[in-house]
Parts: sequence; structure tokens; C-alpha cells
Amino acid sequence: MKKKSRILKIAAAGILALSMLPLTGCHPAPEQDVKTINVAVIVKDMNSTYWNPVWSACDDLQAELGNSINILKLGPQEESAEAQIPVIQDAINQKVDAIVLAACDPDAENEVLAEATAANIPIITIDSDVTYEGRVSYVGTMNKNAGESAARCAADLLDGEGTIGVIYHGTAATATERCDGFLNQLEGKVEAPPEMAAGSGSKQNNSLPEATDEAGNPIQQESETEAMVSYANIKIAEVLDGKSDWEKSKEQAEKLINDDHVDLIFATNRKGAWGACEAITELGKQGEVYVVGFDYFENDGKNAEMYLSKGILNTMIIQNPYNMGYLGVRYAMEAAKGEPIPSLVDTGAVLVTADNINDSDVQFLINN
Amino acid sequence: MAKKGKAFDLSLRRDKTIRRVSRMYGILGVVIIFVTLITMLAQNFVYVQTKNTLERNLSSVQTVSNIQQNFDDVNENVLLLISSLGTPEIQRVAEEVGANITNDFANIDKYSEEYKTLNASSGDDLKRRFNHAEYAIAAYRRKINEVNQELGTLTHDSGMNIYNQELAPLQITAAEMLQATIEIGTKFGEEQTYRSKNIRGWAQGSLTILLVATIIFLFFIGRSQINSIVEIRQKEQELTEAGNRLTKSKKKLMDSAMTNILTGMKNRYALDESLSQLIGNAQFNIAVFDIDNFRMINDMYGYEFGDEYLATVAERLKEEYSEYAEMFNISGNEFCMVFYEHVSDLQAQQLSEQIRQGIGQPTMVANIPVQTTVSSSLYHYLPSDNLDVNTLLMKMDSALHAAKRDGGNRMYQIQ
Repeated sequence: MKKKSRILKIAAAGILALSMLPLTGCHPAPEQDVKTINVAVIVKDMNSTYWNPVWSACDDLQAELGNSINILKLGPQEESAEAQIPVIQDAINQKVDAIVLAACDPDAENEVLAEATAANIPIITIDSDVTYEGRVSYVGTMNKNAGESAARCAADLLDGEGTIGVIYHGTAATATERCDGFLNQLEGKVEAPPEMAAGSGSKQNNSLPEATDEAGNPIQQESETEAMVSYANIKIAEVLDGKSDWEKSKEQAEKLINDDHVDLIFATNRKGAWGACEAITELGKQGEVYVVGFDYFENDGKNAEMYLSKGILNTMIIQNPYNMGYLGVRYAMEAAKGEPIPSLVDTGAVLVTADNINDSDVQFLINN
Repeated sequence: MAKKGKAFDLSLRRDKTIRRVSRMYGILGVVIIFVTLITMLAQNFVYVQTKNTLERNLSSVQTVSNIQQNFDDVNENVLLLISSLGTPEIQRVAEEVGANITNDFANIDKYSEEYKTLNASSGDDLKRRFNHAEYAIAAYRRKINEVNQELGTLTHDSGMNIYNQELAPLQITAAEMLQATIEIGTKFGEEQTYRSKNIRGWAQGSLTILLVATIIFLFFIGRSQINSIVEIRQKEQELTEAGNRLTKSKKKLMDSAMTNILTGMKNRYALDESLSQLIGNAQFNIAVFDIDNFRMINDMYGYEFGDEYLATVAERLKEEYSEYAEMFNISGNEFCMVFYEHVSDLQAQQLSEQIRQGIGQPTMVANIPVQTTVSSSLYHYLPSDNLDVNTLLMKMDSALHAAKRDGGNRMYQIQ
């Protein structure tokens, strides 16, 4: 009995000592105050490796931001609006705080996106934009701009004279926009480019300062309509659909080479570029016909770098899906907190040639 | 002997306990000092480490912020250059801006190197994000160089196009990555501060708990040890007392075994004991007295009466002859006297006769006068007789029986 009461006393003393713990040691964890923001990132196709850089950006952000963010990686098993709509619906039902979407179709998903807006969930599109006006921001390549850059590059390559064939990839918005940009630039129908919004990290105003002379008076700018290379002698032969299939694209490229005797093929996606490179190789037209195409490709032991080194693929326009994912989710977080974000963020496209492919930043881009 | 042994064991145990307690206190004291020292050293180590990490972190965030400032400056200069395209001032602006941009990039390179040396211990997240920022800056820088080379062929509009379509995206990306780097760095610093505060808090807390717990532990242990010492002492005392009681009761038991309860005289065993001491050592006189026909008294008045009579006789004998002889009541009505050394043989003979007659004197028991006759035998023992106790007593008995056989009321002296 005596022994029992002694144990009880010791236990009581222990409890007393433990109760002093909060007085001495603990500080409230700062993380506890942070609300976790749930962001759904919805891609076009869960099975495509194209989205790997987006996922890796998500993983990096998750690691960097810790428990202040929870990223849900979602997407349909095949690339179609019909399959993607239920995924978006699911995300809305889960009451996520923001949706980052790479839309399969620019128009078909507008209805479900309106539901998200009604549920107070901001939508940020990446890679492929939608026509829905309620989306807060688009983060990705300005495909029209990229098309125009490709056109300038093609004109430079042909030195202002030659025939160009175009292979686009079906009805995708990216195909239409790249094509439009490319053709409009060459046909001299380029509209005034949209004013770019500054990144949130940049403290300065990106709008052009007015040029002044030494006395501080505004300088009268010369009216300038002439392009640096004249496009007058550049002819567009045909614009053909490669249907986002490399064999179909190859077929169309052969047609352009044999029937239209083109000097350059512009391909709006990787499958088109790959088909065109294959066609040139098979027809033995190296050094006569060049390819300017979008995106890095690697298939069947052949890759874009190989064709670049052979001089068949002259310029590869590489987008930055990692940055789309990274900036898209970052902006989504800010939008979820109710902070203002730019409505258009161009993640840019890099024109990769044999000259710069070995630059560290280009390699970094390819390998990310 | 046994009692002493027990006491010795107990005190030994008490000493052991005291030694054990003091040893334990010593060890605990050393442990407390050791733990306190370790905790203090650990705290100091954590503090120094954290301080260094935080200082490095602060410097690296400052360095990235310097890069950001220079980078923004580059962009301002590029915009100035683009806006001057197609004006007569282009040449002057290009030179000025070119020098500024070169200077800014030199600074960026310098800060990048500085950052890398500072950044050695920071987290992977921070390194990776800075890597992205660095590559974005590199891409922007390359594009600026390309534009610079084509500067002569650019118009205001085509320059604007290139800026908006190619330079601005790279600039935005780089700016965002730099901003993200600063944010991660700041967060990392906050986490470090929090962690170090937490670690120090825990260290202080656990030290306090440890000290409090040890003091409480010592208090209880000390108390329980003191209790056990007190208990041992009490038990020791109790055992000593129990030992004493045991000795007394043993003596009592011995006494009762050697004494006739009725008469209070020593009994036959005591006689054996006394004789065995004397035989072979000294000469002495011994006499045995037996009341004749004592059974008749018992038969006539009852045993209680007989007992009362014997007790009265014994009392009288003790009163009158204690100084001359050691007296024994060896059976109901049989008395034995072993005369002391100072009593001579003749005196012993006279006293024996006197006693024999004295016993038989009329005695009042419950107002009834009782008178008896007594037979006796007397033996003058010499060491040279070579008798053992039994043989001696048998001799005495047979002499007594002879006296009784001859009519009683007489004394036979054994020759």
C-alpha cells in the first residue's frame, strides 16, 4: 500500500513537471497559421510525356512551399474535351481553391468552367487557352507570337526568297494560332502585338518609356513599316493538315517537296516536324529543303538534335512547359488568395539552332 | 551469542544502506552536472550553427535581391534602347545603354558567384530555383546579344515586336524565378529561425524538466532511504528487546523446570544438576527425608489438604535451614538437603536429626493439627567414594527404605 502511494506521488510529480513544459519550451509553429491552398492541375492527357515538365514543376513547388499548398495532379486518360470535362467537374466538386488547366478544346469546356467561376474557383489556363472570358489568366506560349518568330526565322533562312509549305496539326488552337502568326507575318498582316503584362516579380513598368533627346524633348519617331527582311519574294505553297500524326505529316511533306518544290517546311508541332524530317531524309533532299518546327521530339532512336546536326531541322521552337506549370501554379495560388495577377503571361519560346543547342540554358530547357 | 550476531548483521546492513544512499546521491549529482553541461553545450552549438546559417541565408537573399535589381536595370535599359530605335539618338543611346547593360551583367555575374559560395549549405529547393533563375537570365542575355547584333536593321515596330514576343517572356520568367528564389530563401530563413527557437526551447524545457524531475526523484528516494534506515533501527531495537525477552523467558522456563511448583523448592533435576557439580570435587553431607504414611493424610483429608501441608512444611524448612543447606523437594513428600561446606559432619548429623523431628512437629493446616513421623537417611560423601549421582541417590533411597522397613521415625546414616 505504502509502495503504491509512493509511485502515485512520483507520477504526480512527473505530471507536474510535464505541465511546466509549455511554460519553458514550446513556441507556436508558424506553419499552423498557414492555410493550405488546394490547386488542381489538369492536363490534356495523363499518359503523355509532354506533361512531365509540368509535373516536375508541381513537385518542385510542393517541395518549396511545403504545407501552404496541396497540388492535385489530374487529367483524362485520353486527350479529348469529353474526357476532360468530368475531371474539371470533379475538381469543382472537391472544392479546390484554384484550377490550372491545359484545355483540350478552346470552346467545348466553357460551360463547366463557368460552373467553376460560380463556385468562386479561379481558372488559370496553361499551354492551351480557352475562349471562356471568365478565366483569370493564361500562362503559356503566345502561339501567334511564336508563329511570327518562326516566320521571321524562316524568312531569314531563305534570305527573303523561296517557297514555303506548312504542315499544321488538326483543329487544335495551338495549330491555328501558330499558323496564323506565321502566315500573317509573311503576308505583312501582323497586328500590333498585345501589350505584355509584367511578371509579378518585376517591380518596374514594362511599358515603353518615351524616348527623349538630350534636352528631354520627346523624339519624333520615324514612321517605319519596312521589315528588316522583305517578304515580297516569299511564296506560301500549301498549308496541309498532318493530323498530329507523324506518318500523315510525312506523307504531306513528301507532297510539298515533290509537287510544290518547297525550300522550307514549317511544322506546327513535333509530329509534323518529325514527319517532315523523315520525308527529307527519305527523298535525299538534305541541304535543299529545311524544316522549322515546334517542339523537341525523340522517337525510335531518332531525335531532334540528330536532325539539327544534319542540318535537316534548321530551327526548333521550344516551349517551356516547366515554366508554364511553375508560373501557372504560382499565379493560381495568388489568385486563390485574391491577389491580382496578369491576365496573360508569355512563357516564351526559344528558337533552337545547331549554334545554340549546346548552350547551358538550352540544354537545361531540353532536359527539363 | 546468537543475539549478538543478529545485532551485528543489522548494523552492517544499516551501514551498507547509508553507503548505498550516499553513493547514489553522488552518482546522481554527477549525472545532473553532466546532463546540464551537455545540454548547455548542445544549445550553444545549435545557437552558433543557426546563427551562421541565418547570416549566410540573409546574405544570399540579399545577393539574389542585388541580382534582381541589376536585372531590372537591364530591362529598363533594353526598353530605353528599343524605344529609341529609329530616332537620331539611337547611336548615343545604344552606346550608353550598351555600357549600362554590360555593367549590369558584370554585376549579375559577380553576385551569382557570390551567391554560389554563400549558398553551399542552403536547401535543394533554393539551389534549384536559383538555377532556373540563372538559366532564364542566360536566355534573356543571349537574346539581347542577338538583338544588339541586328540593331542596325531594326525599326521601332520590329524592335517592339521582338521585345514583346521574345524578350519580354524571357524577362518575365527570369524575374519570376528570381522572385521565387527570394521567397524560398526568406521562407528557409524563417523556418531556420523557428527551428532553432524550437530546438532551444525544447533543450531549455527538457533541461528544466530533467532538473525538476531529478530533484523530485532525489527527494522521494532520500525520503524512502531515510525511512528504511529508521525502519532498520526500529527493527534492530525490536530484535534486541525480543532477544532480552527470550532470555528472560528461557530462564523462567529453566527455573520452572528445576522447581517444584507446589513447594517452591528446587526439584529432582536441580538436585541432579547440583550433585553433578559437587561429585568428584568436594566432600559434602547429604540427607533425604520422607514423611511416613503420608498417603493416609491424602486419603483422610484429600490431596489439596496434603499439598497445603507439604507447602507449609517446606516454607518452614526454608525459613529455618536455608543458611545450612541447599534444599530440594525431590518428590511429593520427600525432601533432600545438601549441606553447605561450612557445616561440619557432626553438625550435619545434628541438623538432620533436628530437621527430621522438625518436619514431624504438629502443624496447623486449615485449622487442623497434623502430626507425622519422618524417616531419613544421611550420607557423608567423600570424593574418593567414586560414586555417580544415580548410585549416590540409590544408596540414599535404600537407606531410607531400610529405616521405613524398620518401623519408620528414624534416621539411618550410611557408612
